[in-house]
Amino acid sequence: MASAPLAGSLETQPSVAVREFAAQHYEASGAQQFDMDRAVLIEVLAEIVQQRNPASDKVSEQSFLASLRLEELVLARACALGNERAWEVFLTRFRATLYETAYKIAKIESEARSLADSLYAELYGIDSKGQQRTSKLLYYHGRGSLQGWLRTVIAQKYVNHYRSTKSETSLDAAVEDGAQFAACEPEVAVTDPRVDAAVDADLAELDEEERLVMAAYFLDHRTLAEIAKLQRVHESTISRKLERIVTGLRKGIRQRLMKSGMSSRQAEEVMDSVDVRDLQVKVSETLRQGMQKSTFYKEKGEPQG
Amino acid sequence: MNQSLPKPTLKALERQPLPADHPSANVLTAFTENALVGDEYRRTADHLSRCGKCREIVFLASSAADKPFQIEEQIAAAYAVPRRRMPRLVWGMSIAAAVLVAASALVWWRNESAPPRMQMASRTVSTPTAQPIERLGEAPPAIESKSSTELKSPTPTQSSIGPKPATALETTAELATPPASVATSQAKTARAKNVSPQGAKTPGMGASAGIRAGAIPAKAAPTPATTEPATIAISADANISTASTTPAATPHANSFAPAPSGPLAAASGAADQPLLNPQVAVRSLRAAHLWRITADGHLEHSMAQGWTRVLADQTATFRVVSVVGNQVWVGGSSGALFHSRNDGQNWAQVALTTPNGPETASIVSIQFDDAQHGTVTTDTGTRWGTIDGGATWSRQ
Repeated sequence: MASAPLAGSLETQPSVAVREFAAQHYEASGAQQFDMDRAVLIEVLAEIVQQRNPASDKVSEQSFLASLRLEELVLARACALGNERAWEVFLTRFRATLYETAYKIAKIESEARSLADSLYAELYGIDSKGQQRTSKLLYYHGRGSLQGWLRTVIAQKYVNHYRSTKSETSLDAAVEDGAQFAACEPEVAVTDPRVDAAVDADLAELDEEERLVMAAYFLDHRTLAEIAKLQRVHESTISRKLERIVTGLRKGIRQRLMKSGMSSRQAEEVMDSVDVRDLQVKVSETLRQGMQKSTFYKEKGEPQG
Repeated sequence: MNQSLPKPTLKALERQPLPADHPSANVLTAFTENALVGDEYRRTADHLSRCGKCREIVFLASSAADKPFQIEEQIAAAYAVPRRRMPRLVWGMSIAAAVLVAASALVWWRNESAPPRMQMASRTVSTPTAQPIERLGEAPPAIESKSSTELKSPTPTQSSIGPKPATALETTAELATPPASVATSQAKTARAKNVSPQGAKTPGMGASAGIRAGAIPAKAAPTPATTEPATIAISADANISTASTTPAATPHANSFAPAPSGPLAAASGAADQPLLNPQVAVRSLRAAHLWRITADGHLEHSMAQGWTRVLADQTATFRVVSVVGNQVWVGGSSGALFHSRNDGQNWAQVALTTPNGPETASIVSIQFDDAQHGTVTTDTGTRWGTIDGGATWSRQ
């Protein structure tokens, strides 16, 4: 068991940094209690380093190795190797969390149970042909917590399942939804190429994080709280950030459009007046502004009667 | 957000080219846990800004990491109990006392006016009060809270609560008898909510009701069940630790003796401890876990529903658990001391070694002022200190 080959591992030559790290942290990693000897640990670490960046220098390798969740990595690999004690520890620590996470993601108990059970099977490595076990835990690299990795894997499975079954709609449901009468999506008229150029140029000036926040808020309709949780900041920070990004974008696009020959009014219209609903609002506003004063309204100083 | 995004920008966001390769679950996990740095972080953020599927995965995983609302709410309610309930109790006790004074005056007046009927009246009054008082007197001694000075004085409490004839209602201390029924209902309410009465902490209570503060709550807070866990530690930014009910466990400045059950019971048991600011405590509990030591000396941990036994493979009987931020310390018999730096995900055994060998006495108190500075006390009185987060220990 101790010298059992790692299923799915790469044949890599361990670097000096890996050897030093393994020698230094072998005892603290708890590998001994799962009958995993030092050579196996070195092999695991070398494989992970190799997969991340084969051409990294010693210093970056050391900092990368130091950032790994070594104890959880050892536990996961010991489970993948079929160590019973490791499985006991894993089940004690993560069984409840797994079902709880599945429920939080799927929201429906039966679906959550099915999700968690199928992941269990993959973690245990039940092969459909029943020949060789290949545990999904082999893919855990200790980059984040094992619990977080399990959450991500469940979310992945859920999204894959949801996306694969999203298009499956019964005929009755389609009829009820009026699908057979659905009109073709109207082709949005292609706007002035100057607009596209201005927008693309302005978007390119945003950094990755700003684009992520914008996509999450405007495309996915995530709440400020959700985005703030992911970014680990307060939601008011996200709100201010979005406000700043949108203001900057509007200003930048307007300036670029004006430089390309549009008037300020044209630029504003290009940015906002595409949607017909906006036009309706504007019409009503115009009507309201042009409304006559009430018959019974009297100006100050106007004589009574 | 008051401004809307320019519509061409929204369309441009939608038509961003999708990247070919998706990051692995490891990278997405590291991104969610804020463990990516530098170029790798930027690459992942860039991918996420373009890939709706990966964004969905990341947000689902992130939202599933929420701490359960129930714990927060439970703690908030627990901290709010003394403030919310005391005015009602004060009024209830005042009214009960007034009714009793009136009743005793009536009895006295009847006694004066019609001697043969006096005995009947006294029996009528004493009978209903004597029953609950006797039951209260039989409350198990295990409920005695070590940190509450009022609750430690059984003699006056017993005398004031014990069965007395109704004619003896003369002093304010003896007025404690009728409100005992009020205290009984208070105790029932407290048991139902997993909360111990807080009468001893409100100065206005004793003054307005003319009752010795602490006497009634001390008797009216029975232990609900012996199988309940002995201690509960609420992990917060502040260091809160608990000790088991074993008599050898010495109440420490930072470790208080357990109350019957529930987080409030643990939190409110320390009369000499300043209660945490509820808002601060609740805020910190967003990132907190719950820890407890069961009556049979096992360490248990809860993050959501249900308690999970931690360090189940250890033979030591645990006596005390202490939490500082995400660092957890647990100590027990035979000098067993374990430390976790990540909310109990990984544990390391810490050896306290004397010149004569390893420490064999039971650890009964763990106190950490912060993550670096802490003290451990054994049942033989030996104190060990650390100033480097437990890397080295020195005998004091």
